[in-house]
Parts: sequence; structure tokens; C-alpha cells
Amino acid sequence: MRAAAAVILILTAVAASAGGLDLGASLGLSYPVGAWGDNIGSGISAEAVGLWKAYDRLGVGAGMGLSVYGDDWDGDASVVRLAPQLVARGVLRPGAASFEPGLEVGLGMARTSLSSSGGSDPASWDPFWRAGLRWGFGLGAGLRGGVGFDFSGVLADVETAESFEILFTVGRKVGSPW
Amino acid sequence: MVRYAATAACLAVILLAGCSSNPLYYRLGSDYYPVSPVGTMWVYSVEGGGNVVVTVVDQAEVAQRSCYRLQRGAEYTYFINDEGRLEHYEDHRVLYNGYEIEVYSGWVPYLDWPLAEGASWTDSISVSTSEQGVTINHRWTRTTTVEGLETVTVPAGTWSDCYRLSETETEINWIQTGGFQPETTTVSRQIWLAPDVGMVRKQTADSTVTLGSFTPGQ
Repeated sequence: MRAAAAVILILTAVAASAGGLDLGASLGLSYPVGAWGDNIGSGISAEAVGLWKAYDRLGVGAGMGLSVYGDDWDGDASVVRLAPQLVARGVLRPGAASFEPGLEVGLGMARTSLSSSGGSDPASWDPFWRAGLRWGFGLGAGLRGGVGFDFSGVLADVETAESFEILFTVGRKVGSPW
Repeated sequence: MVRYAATAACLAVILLAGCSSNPLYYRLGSDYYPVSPVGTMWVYSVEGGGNVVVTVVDQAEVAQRSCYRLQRGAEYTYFINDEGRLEHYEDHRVLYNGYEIEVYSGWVPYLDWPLAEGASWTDSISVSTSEQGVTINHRWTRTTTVEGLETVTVPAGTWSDCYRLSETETEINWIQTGGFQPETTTVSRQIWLAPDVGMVRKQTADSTVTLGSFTPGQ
């Protein structure tokens, strides 16, 4: 886990000296997988990612993900997961107008908090990972859109917690920051 | 370049070190009051002597809802664990003229999932019924508060991540005829719930009950 994060970190540093910067944001639905979701319904996921394009087909950088889940019964419980992470994205056919397939992975930590009926449990910090496919396309005016899905996991104490996300993204290349 | 690399390194250090962890997802995924499957059995030791056996007997249909029937000693109780909460079938009776008069029967929420420290909720019943020419008012409230997370050791074993709950039940019965005044009864108790086991300890003002053995059903 730490080794993988270190690799991404090195890639980030290398990329930072080379290419341009892609900024993107995602919004989608998240579905808990496994017992931790028995009393928690589906949620909303949002993510902001900044990627330095080391090469046309490879970008590395950092991102912040936020997922919010509510309970099925009366909506007075919520699970909030905040996940700062290092991100790598590889694409085929970069810049294609209608079909830019890609793979995106993230590694980081997740802070999870639970609130229910006016109370809250101690927050938990655990290693976090995600991986998913993307289908990028041009939106015009310099914007790129995309759809895709992620499978993500939190390597929590005693029990891991996975989830499945369907995401819609929009991004823009803003050039080299230096 | 150096500045950005240093920022990234600092970010990585913050992410990978110095973070506290606790089994929040384990608690979220655990059943703190299992009422199924059939055959699940708890044997409790009562302070001062004696045992109480609680068994999940079978599935039943009560008030047009499918539920699990539990036998506690010679009594039956009914639970539904569904849609993010545990419901209990309340059967309230008032003694008048030597007869037990049913004043309320129906499903009432008992536990609101998921549990969390500091969570609190109140369930209540307020009914009025006429029987044998008199009107009986019945008011009942139960306030439940999740007081904390603890490790509990009882004869059946030791469990971490147990929720300690306090419950206060207040019942006011008023038989509206000559010679009767509103009668108020208040009962307070603390219960400890262990993940995937249920109640492992219960304490009231005059008794303590602890789990002696637990047998999961098939």
C-alpha cells in the first residue's frame, strides 16, 4: 500500500516537471457492497482531481473524494467518507472526440464518520483504494466529459468495506502550472 | 519543482501516518440485536441465582406482518428486523376488577439502526379505551439513549465494540372511575449489545442479568 503510494508520488513529481495540468470533477451514485450497507442506503459521490500529464496517455496527481450515504428508514443517519488520494489515469486514444477509453486508480486514506439519531461514532481513518474504467469524450469549448464506474474499498479494522460508484465527469486542461 | 514534490511528500506523510482507526465498518455491518435465524439461543444468568433461556422459536405472522417469535421463559415476544430498524410487538394490558384489559397491541420501533454514540430516540403510545363501563387512559413512553462503546466481559466471553444503551420506560394508567387516580410506573435499565450476539448484559435497579452462553441458529 505504502509502496504503491510512493510510486505514484514519484510519478507525480516527474510529471510535474513535464506536461500540462488537467482539472476534473465527478459526480455520481455510490452503492455500498456487503454487510456495512445493510442499514445504509445508496449515496452520492463527488470527486475533484488534478492530474499532471506526464505523457499524452498518462496522468498522475491528487484528488479528493466525498461520499455521503443515508439510511433507508427515516433518513436520520448518515455515513460520510472523505478520501484524499493520489490518482493515476491512463487513456487510449487521448483527446479523441467521442471515444477515449481509460483506466483510473486512486490510493489514499479515507476518513469515515457516522451520525445517527443525534449521535455520532468516533471517526475512522483507514487506507483507501479505488479503480475503475472511464469513457472520455469531447464536450466542446475545451471541456472533456466522461462516464465510468469505480470499485472502491476501505481497508478498515476487522472488516473491509467496498462500494460501487457510477460517475459522470467533466474536466478541462488548464496548461502547465509552471 | 522541488516545492511541488515537497508538498506531495508532506501530503503522503499526512495520509499514511498519524491516523487513528477504529472498526466503524465492522460495527456498521454487525447485527446488534439478532432475532433470527430460528434456533438462535441465549442463556442468561440472573444475579442471585437462576437462568433465563431465550430462543428464536419460529417465524410467525402477527398483525399482518411476518416476524420472528422469541420465547423467553414461558412468554413469547415478537420482533421484525427490517428497513433499518428493529420493531417489537407491544402488548399492553391494564388490571381492572381482577381482569387484564388489553389497552394496546401493535408494532412499535425498538432500535433505530445504525447505532451511534449519543443517539437518542423516544417511542410512545397514547390510547384511550372503554371497558366494563369505564374509560381507561394509557400513556407509555420509552426513551433510549446510546451512552457509549465498551468492551464487555461476561461468562459467555469478551466482546469489544459493545454499545451501552440506557432505557427509561414510563407508563401512566388512569382508570377514570371513582377511587382511581393516575398510576405512574417508571422503569430504568441499562443494556449492553454485542456485535452479532445481541444483549450480553442487562442491569436494572434490582437485578443484573449476564449472558452465560450463546448459540447461533442455523
